[in-house]
Amino acid sequence: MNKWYKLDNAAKIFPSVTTDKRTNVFRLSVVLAEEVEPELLKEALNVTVGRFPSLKVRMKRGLFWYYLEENHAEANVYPESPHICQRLKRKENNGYLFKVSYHSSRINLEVFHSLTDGSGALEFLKAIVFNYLLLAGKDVDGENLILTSDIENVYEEAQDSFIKNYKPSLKNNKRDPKALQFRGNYYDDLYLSLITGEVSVPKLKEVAHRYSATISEFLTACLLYSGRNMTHLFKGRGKPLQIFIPVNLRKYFPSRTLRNFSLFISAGMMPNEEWDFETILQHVKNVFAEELTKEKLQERIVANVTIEKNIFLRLVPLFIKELVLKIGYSAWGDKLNTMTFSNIGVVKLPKSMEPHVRKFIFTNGASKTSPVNVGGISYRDRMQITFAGAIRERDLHREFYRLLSSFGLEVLIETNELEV
Amino acid sequence: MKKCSKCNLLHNTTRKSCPLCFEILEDLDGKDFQGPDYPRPVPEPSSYNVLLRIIAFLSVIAVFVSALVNALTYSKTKTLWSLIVVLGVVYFWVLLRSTFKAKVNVGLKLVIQMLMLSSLVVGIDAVSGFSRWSLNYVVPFLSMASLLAIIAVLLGKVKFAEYLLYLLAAVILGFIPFILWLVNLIDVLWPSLAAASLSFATIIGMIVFADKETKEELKKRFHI
Repeated sequence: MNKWYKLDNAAKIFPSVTTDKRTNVFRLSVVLAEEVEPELLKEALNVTVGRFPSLKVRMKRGLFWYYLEENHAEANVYPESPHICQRLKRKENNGYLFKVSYHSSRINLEVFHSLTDGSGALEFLKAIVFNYLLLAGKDVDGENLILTSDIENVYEEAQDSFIKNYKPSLKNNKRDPKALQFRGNYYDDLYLSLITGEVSVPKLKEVAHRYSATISEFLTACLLYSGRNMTHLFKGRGKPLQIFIPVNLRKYFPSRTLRNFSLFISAGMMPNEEWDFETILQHVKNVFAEELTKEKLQERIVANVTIEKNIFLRLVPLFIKELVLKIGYSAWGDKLNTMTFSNIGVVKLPKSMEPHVRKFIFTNGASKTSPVNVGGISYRDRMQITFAGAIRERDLHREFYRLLSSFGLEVLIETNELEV
Repeated sequence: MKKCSKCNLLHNTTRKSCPLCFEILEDLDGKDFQGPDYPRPVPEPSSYNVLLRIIAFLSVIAVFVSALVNALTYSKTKTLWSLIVVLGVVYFWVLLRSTFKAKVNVGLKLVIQMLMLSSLVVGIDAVSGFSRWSLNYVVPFLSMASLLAIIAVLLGKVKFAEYLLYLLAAVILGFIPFILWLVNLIDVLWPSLAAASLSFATIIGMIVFADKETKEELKKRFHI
């Protein structure tokens, strides 16, 4: 019998609103110490995916909703494409909703957001790397930090934790306002630019602590500060510069799920506000303190699940739902944020794996409807802050990295081919 | 390692100029770029199907010319024969795109064929005096043919469940001619009754022969 899963609450919207220009794909990359061998990688991938039943799926259309069904096909690995975070077509890649690719010593895992969020994907990537190193004859040990094949997969890993934390008594109908949107010269063929800045985590922490802020708060403030005067980059007047910050809910609500369990909070400011850096950072800290409480987050969860529980919505056939969602999302959903800053946090690897793994990079996929997004990920004592851009303009990136540098941080920049 | 003195940023790159402010980079230690690099994009060849475009062009011209001639001679002929041309062209394009080219389930293709052919013949019937030959005979037989074709396709298929949704659609469509007879839109009973009977028999067959997997598939497809 084929296992099957309903889409989780956050995943439900993505298949209906995904197009070539709005791919809803993000990418986690890992750079190993040695060249990647494709055959081994493929073997490791197929060993690993057997341990993750909630990811070993393909998407199917039902009459009312999409759903995920066990996929018996083999998962393939591909040479890395210059085009990052492209739409994952359902028929490609044997129906899998992720794509593993390699380029010299780098392994990339691109994931369609209906499948899982950054934390789930990171667990998967760590397990792939672990199995790869094992197959390559390296002496590595999981040290209980990796979901290895001998650790039982439990039903809670496939749980929709949004539903689990639904409490009808909590209600919150706060609506986010529309935000400034980027404008600029788009690359051809949906190409994305990639600019990664590497900084030292202890130094970054020290600077952030000078303002008694966390790294996420500090970097969000840096983004707002860098963007506040760049009127030429944005369209829309009288709207705030708004940054969405995804929050990993597993930190607030106990959950083992490997599916989506995150939400956005949003920090913003009016671009004409004459605020200095301290004021902006204080504002961001206030927003974080206010929004990142269990009660507030649960209110957001409830608001999202309430929509899904509406019986009239559920009984509308899928093709009509899709039509409405497409129109609604273009008119409203795309317009709520200027950009997204997603910080995956610290990757903890077993000591025995560390010599074989040089760094992790998180690319928060951009696209035509959301042209600039930022992703952060830390491993050992280095943090990689990556801009993905669908537009050629990189003034914001420059101001941001220069700002970091002005705090006394040493920033090492790497890019993909930008002048195409 | 290279450095941009204007940005005060370090660069690990093979570039000559700063990717952010375009100043010329200063080489710090003469060491080469530390990999891995990123694959270089090659411009995608634009796809341009000449044949398809010629057919598209001719389709539009054919519709336009026949509509024009029809309009100019309408006082003499009193029929909207150009609608037949329009329907024919539309059907031709569905045949081309959906039936021959699309990589979708055969069951879906058969259901689409049945619907399109039905609308084509009903359209021709309606334009040429509406003597109801299409509804009386063609539509019931088309629905039976598509239902039998889907059954024939799915017999012996391992992935039986994949065709279930379309089998159900064909079954429901099979009842439509009979319903039309009930509301007096059709005056010959036997073809539509035959179609309805075949649909009914199929339903009974589905219930009797359905295994666990089929029921599971229905649960999946129809979960709300």
